[in-house]
Amino acid sequence: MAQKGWEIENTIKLVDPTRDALYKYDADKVKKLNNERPWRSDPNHFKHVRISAVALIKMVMHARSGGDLEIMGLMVGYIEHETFIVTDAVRLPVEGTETRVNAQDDANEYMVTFLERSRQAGQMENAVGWYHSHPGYGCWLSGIDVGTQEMQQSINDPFLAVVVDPHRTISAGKVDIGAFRTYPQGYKPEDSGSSAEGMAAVPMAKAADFGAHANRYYSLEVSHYKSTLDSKLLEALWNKYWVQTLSSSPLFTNREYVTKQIEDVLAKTALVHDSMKKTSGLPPMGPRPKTGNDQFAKVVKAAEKIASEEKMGLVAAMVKEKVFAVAAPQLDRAAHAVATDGGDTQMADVKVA
Amino acid sequence: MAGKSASINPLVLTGKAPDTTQHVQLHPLALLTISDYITRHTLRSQEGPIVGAVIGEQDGRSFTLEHAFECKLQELNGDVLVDGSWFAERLEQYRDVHKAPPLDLVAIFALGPVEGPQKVHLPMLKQVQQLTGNDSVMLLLFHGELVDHLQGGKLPISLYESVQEQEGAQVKFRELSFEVETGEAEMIGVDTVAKAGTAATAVQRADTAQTGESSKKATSSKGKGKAKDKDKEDDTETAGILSPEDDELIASLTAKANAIRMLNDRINLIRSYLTTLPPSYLTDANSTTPPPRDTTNHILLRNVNSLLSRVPLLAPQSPIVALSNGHEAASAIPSSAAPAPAPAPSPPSSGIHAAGAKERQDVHLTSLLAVLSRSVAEAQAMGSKFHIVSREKENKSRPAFGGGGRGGGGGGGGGVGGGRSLGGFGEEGLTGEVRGAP
Repeated sequence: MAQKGWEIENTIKLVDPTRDALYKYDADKVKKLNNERPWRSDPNHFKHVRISAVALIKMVMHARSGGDLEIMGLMVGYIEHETFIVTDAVRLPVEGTETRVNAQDDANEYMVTFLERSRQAGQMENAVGWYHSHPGYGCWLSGIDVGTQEMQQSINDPFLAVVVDPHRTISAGKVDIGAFRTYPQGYKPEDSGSSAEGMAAVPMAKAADFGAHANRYYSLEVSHYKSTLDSKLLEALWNKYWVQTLSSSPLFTNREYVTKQIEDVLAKTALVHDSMKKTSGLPPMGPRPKTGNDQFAKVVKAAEKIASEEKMGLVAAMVKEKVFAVAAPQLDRAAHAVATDGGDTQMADVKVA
Repeated sequence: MAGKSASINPLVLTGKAPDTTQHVQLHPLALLTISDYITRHTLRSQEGPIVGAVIGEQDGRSFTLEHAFECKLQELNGDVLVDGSWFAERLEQYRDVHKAPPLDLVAIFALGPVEGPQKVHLPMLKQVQQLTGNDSVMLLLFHGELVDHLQGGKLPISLYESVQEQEGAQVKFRELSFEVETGEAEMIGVDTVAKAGTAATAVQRADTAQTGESSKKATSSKGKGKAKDKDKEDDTETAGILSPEDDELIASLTAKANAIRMLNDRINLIRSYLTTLPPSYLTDANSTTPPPRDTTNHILLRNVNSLLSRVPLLAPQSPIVALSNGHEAASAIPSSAAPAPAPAPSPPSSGIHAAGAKERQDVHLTSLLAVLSRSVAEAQAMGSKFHIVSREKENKSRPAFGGGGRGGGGGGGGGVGGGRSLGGFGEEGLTGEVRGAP
């Protein structure tokens, strides 16, 4: 067909087989890897995650659209060596996933038919993980999440869990995302403290949940990729959204979220204070002050995070002021001086904005 | 390749759109989805043309194009059509998960030449319009040939609406203008990918070597500095030379700097255009050359003028002019008061000054909070270390002196000595600061 030929001829130029290699899909290779299952022998087998541009943006937007409610979705892609490659993300019609164990079951039918239709359209990747959001309380796995992921890893391995925090994303201006895999039951990781300390401050309301399960999973390194065509379009798009970069007012948009964060730091400080009071009477023994210090160190980290985000917001506001507002009166006088020189042309009045 | 004349496409209506023009906003995600599909389709050597659907919000005459998905196609009598039942069900699935705000089909996309829609695009557009009962489904064409010659931020796509002048007549297309609009989350996502997204080179055995290598191949020039920062961010917080907060600050400052540079470029562009205009009676009262009617772009000049007239709105208004009627009066006053000094930045009596001052104070307050909590934490750490040290001293001194009383005195005397010795250990450098702490 004439159009087909013409199209294929053109699209070949739009891709680069080396730099867009991840967009290929080798079904046989994937099948072979699935049969070998190297991850069975090594719980820490998978170490990296590469997320495509569309998958990332879809997940972040989905998370944001849920507001304060947790949302959930599916990721499709494939695996290669020790890496998960996430090529696309699919929304699932469920909400409030943190309070129910079987949230995924509701969406089972949707998932199955969706993937089937995708395959019919030519998108052959399998489901390779699930993502959900933690609005405002950071990227980690709750007890329910760990249970869900453990089950998925036993049935549907290789499977990945991804968590997005839309509030922190907006506040920090950077995508807050984490990828995790659980250890099998009874497996004791060597350095049990590392993943727990690496997490950014978790709000007090969730701290118990976080602490209880922090040793049952580990986090993978996340990186993003985009195609050469994406890069070209993004360069063109940058020309359009640089305006947004300059004109955004993060201090204003994030007011509620920051207030909540400050309240949370306050509550944590009070908690630490109380626990200090209890132990201050006894001669301080070695371990006790240490845990107090740890707790307090986390509080300090949280406070500093808030301060730095606020500072960035202030920088944005100051930049706006400096660039636009300070010089505006002079600019205006200059503009008028030119306009009203020729007395007959009353251009100053004819201002049709 | 069918012979196509360079500029005239019989299917495209030329001339201005009527007053009831539509207001169309394109979101970057839709564009990136299309590009992702093109890359995948081509690299996997999939069959069939590249066709898909775009969903968005429709509000009277304004449309948004927000999400996109590819379509399963079928061929019928040589026409390319979408698989009807597949399409209907798939659209329903997308509607299910996009309920607030409710999104629906607004366009279908396909590859197409710059000249506009071709005969091959007609059947599937008609079919989709019939399937959804929506006649205003638009056609979005992606121009592959333009991608390498993008200039001035023009996107290689065009949007067309179908127009049927009379019943049964040939359907024609009119090109629509659109603007790019993003939501906050979308912008941050796009920003992250633009800066930190590396090339999609294949995963190799030595994964760490690969990420180091591919990050150097960052395609956009803005990405080069960012890629290095990103490597540091991947390390744990202790290993990086810059703390994550510093990284974020640097990243946001760089983004602002780029944006300002862009603004500067644009203003220079406007300025150089204006200086190249031939002199006219506006700039020089004695000049007698008549204004060239044909070549002056009046629309452009009007836009520039309106831009200049908006500038005074940015100036923080002094309280006197805030009460005058309308913006014109406010801007007229500075010109008449030109000999007088400019309105001095008075004490924050105007609303925006006060709000700005409040915001600044809030931010400084949070910084103070953070610094305070850090100092207290350091003090507490020092305190507990001091206790440990003094206990050690007690244990050591007890066998030597054999008296408990001395231990108490030793504890008190050891307080100051302990503080100094801790400073001598060189542990937390803040011992000087916290000496006054209770």
